[in-house]
Amino acid sequence: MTIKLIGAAAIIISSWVAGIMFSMKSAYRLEDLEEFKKAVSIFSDSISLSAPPISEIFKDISKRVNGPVAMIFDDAGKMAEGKNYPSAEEIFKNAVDKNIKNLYFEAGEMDCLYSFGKNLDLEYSHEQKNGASIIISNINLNQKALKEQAEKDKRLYSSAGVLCGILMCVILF
Amino acid sequence: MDINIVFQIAAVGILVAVLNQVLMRAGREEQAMLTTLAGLVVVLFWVIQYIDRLFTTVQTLFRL
Repeated sequence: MTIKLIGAAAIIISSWVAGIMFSMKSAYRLEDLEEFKKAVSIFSDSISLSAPPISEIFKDISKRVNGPVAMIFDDAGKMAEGKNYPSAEEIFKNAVDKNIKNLYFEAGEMDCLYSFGKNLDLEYSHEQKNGASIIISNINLNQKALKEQAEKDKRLYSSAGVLCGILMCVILF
Repeated sequence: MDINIVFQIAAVGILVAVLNQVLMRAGREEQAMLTTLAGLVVVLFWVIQYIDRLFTTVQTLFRL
């Protein structure tokens, strides 16, 4: 009987933890989005203050942000130094595709990411700045909806995890 | 027939109902329906052997 109780407690706790881990996906997505917003702001400030080479801007951004977004800019900086690609957009797209499995972004955020890449090929710095501010406003809108979704998901998955654990115990015992 | 089966079926019913409500309120109607169906399948799986025994007993009693 004691072993049954310990087993039941283990099942319930492990399914609760599994539920919480599912809900963390939204939290990681929010974090990545925040880092990308920071990266776009740093890019916008860098091009308004001076006109350094794109590889230096990417490397600077990769040092100042965290997570998969930093890895994207680090790879983009290395590719830009190598000068093997015809355009900055292609460099950025390749860097994103290389790190896509580390990102928690969905379709909307991936569109923002690729449109930032297209922004890099614009001729004038004021056009690039305008593009960057449009991307930042899109991100702000997405973030607001995501925060509410993350709160709901956290409550849903943790309670669903506990209920599924209890259901499994009832079925098995 | 063990009486525990009745309590098990009742517990599954309550848990499935609660899970159904939680999922409906979170806007996941499809997953709520799937949960209900899964609970129904599990309970039917338990009950089917007793139904089989009932039919066999009725056949034996009335020599059908």
